Amino acid sequence: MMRHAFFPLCLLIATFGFLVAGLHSLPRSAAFAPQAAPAEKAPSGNATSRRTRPPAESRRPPREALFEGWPKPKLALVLTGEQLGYIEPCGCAGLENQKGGLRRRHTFLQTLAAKGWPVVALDNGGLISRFGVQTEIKYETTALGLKAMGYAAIGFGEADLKLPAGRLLSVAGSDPSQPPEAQANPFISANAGLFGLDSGFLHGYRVIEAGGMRLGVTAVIGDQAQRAINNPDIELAPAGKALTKVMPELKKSGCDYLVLLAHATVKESEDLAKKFPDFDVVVTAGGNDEPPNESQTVEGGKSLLVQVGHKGMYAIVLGLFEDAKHKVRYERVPLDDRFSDSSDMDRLLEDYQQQLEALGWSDLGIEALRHPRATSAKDIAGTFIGSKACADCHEDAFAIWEKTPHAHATETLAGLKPPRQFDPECISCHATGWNFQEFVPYQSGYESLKKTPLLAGNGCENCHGPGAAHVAAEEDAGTDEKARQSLREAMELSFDEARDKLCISCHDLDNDPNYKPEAFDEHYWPAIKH
Amino acid sequence: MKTYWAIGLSVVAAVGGIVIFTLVQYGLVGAADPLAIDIASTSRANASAGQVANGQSPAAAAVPIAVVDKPVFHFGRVRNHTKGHRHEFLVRNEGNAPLQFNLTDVSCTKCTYVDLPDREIAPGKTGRVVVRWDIEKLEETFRQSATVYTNDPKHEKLQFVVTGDILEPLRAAPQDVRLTGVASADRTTASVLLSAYFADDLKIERHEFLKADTADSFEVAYSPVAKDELAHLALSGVEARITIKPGLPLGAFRQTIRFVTNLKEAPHIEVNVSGLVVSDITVAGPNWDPGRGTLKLGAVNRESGAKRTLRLMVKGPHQEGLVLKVKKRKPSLLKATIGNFQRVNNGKTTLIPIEIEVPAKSRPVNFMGGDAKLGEIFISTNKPEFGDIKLLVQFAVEG
Repeated sequence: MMRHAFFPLCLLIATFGFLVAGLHSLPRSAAFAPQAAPAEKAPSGNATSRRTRPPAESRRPPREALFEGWPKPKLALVLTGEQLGYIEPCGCAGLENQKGGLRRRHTFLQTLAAKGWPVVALDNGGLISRFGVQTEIKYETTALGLKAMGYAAIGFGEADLKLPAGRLLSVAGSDPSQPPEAQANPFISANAGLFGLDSGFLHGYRVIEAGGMRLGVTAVIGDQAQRAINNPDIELAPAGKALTKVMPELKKSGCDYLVLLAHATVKESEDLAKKFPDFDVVVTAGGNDEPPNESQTVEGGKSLLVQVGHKGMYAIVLGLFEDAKHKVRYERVPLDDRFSDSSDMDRLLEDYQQQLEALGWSDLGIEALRHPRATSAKDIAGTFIGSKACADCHEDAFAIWEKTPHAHATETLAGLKPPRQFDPECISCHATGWNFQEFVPYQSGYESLKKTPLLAGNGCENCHGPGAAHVAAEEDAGTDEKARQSLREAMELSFDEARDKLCISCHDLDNDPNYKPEAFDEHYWPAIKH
Repeated sequence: MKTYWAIGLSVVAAVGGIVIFTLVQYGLVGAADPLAIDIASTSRANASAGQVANGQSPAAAAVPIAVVDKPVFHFGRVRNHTKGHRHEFLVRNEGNAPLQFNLTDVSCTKCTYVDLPDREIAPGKTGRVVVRWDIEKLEETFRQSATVYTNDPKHEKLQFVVTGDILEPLRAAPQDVRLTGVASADRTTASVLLSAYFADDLKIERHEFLKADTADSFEVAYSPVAKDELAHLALSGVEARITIKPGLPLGAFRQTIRFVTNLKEAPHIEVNVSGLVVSDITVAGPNWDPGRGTLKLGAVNRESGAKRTLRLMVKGPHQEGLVLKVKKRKPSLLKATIGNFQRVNNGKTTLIPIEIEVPAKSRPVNFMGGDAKLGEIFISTNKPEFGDIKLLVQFAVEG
């Protein structure tokens, strides 16, 4: 009887298996749907968002639907800005948890174009935030990227205007002999002039025809931001005064939609919107890292105030429609990993890394700092020696370290496509003997895999300090015992200091949004405990 | 034998079911278009359809309705480096089904946290969403948000915002002074506004240059700031004018200035000064690589040729009486034309356009670098300090 029952039983199990598959693949109400995410390691989000999980659950919210209910717009304005040098997302939390980057931005724009939407892309400026040769190259790379993406207008941030005039002229300058309407250069500013406001190297506005509309766009740098610009080759004017001059030009051009790119605080941008109510949209660089998820109208005015956030993590899309009920729709688009990497931008970023490699630290203007422990340039208290020297006495700790990702940190960079170990902003946390947040080496810190192989990896001395003096004292039998003990104590690192100050220097918000002191106790320390 | 087949088939079917479930659930199969991901709206549509299929009109079905009267909390002013701030937001359920909170999200994982003491709110009742935050910021304002996902089909996401001003005893604006284009022969100045937010009598008692090797190139002078020119919310302020004297070598420079104050809470503050001392003569223009001193024209179409205008930027006293001549061109097919001098920036800079041309119908050549070398244009000046200016040109004329 068992034998006769066996076949039907097997058939029943098989049917059950398929039924389960079928039922679970049907969509269900959001309240009850197990969320689509691998759980523990990959909370969705990036440098500025993380999901906290209800106890005993490990789900992540569904990825937000985009452009829900949108018909094809008459025109789609894609608004970005404040990239601040974050040309690509990166970090230990995994790219699936981070947002932004030129590659994804390009793919997003291509996606809209593939849908047949007329698109005009505008950037508020703030392409970079730091200073120096690497930053100049990054500015040029980003500008090339935005031009390749077809950006119609790009403003300037304060750090952009701190660049040497030569670089600005090469990258963002117009040809003064050409009238504004013949200019292909998308960089504009109403109140910043390269070699003078009337030099003709920067135009005050652009008129763009798209989707059957005539768009007038101008850009200003806010009065507060201007205070930080000390560039003798840039002439600045108050934003309000400059707009008073530009507005009649825009109106004369017969524009039916006006946009102001304001690299200014939210308050300054609101004040400008109230003073110049003809602007339909005021894009502001102020506000939070994460822009609001719905549109805002200026209080007491009619202009839309759009925050673009920071670090280029989001693009804001304003859809313009003929529909009287929904003339403008707003969508905040996270540039997450649903957008694959654009191969055009891949090539650009490869070229960027190659330039860094070709120049080397010296031509990048990178000057090694004296380590704070050293009292003079010759003091070996500030000299790095490499983790292998530590292994002579601290065998167990070394063996543990060797198995951690810290030991392979430089290798990780070298294995990327393109390799990143020539990038100061990457190597500072991926090798031994660099100042993590200044992106410069200490004297005797890592130089290259060839010259300083012992300083590859994020080694012992990054946390415990330069070890040369300590090693020398241990090896020299004649060392005074008090001095030897003092050097040992100097190499000690307290748990609290590691958890609260040190680890976060590299596992910071941009590179590891998961890191918190509580997470240090639960996850991070156990992984490297020694 | 048949038994084994049957067992095997059953196992395969069960495994197949689990695999299909996993693939669909984790979105690994489905739409290729990134904009097509729309789990939320599809589920809402199905929920509504389900209700209709059951003979209920959607309007009559039990649904929760989340209402938040005050989603934004202005906390006013708080001191920087303080932790444990909190606020309770109230959420009212005006629907006729329990309102459930499922997941949470924050805009700043290291400074903003959300707790849900009430995971479910009965119809007609009010529940709490607690947002906590720590203040460790360099900026003057704080604005972070917490998002809570609900089962209210019209309000799947509720966003709660906390915002306010961050104060600290002493602030420098800017904290990092960056000076571009410092002419080696000129004095350059920059200002820093030092502001006290809890004291109305800020004084700078002295300053120290922490980098000894360039200390002699810097000077600082002070003046008090009038009440109406104080930074927002500051009680007192001092303007520090930093001057860089002539004589710094070409290239990047850094200095850190420590200002020692009369404030017990903030006895000192450091300001970084960095910048670039530039030569009195530099080149700029489209396709110009300043690092390699090269104009990159790339492959030039033989029929149309190529033309670019570079600009020499000359500063300092050598602007007066400067004469330039094209001395040498290699290969000779390259053309270089020096344009009219233009005095700009209130006379501080002279711009001299130099048009570089590969004429149309030039013979095929390769000056792309490497073994092929690069083209060269030498411009002589009448200023011994400048010597000859060498412009490299990377180009090839295709046949």
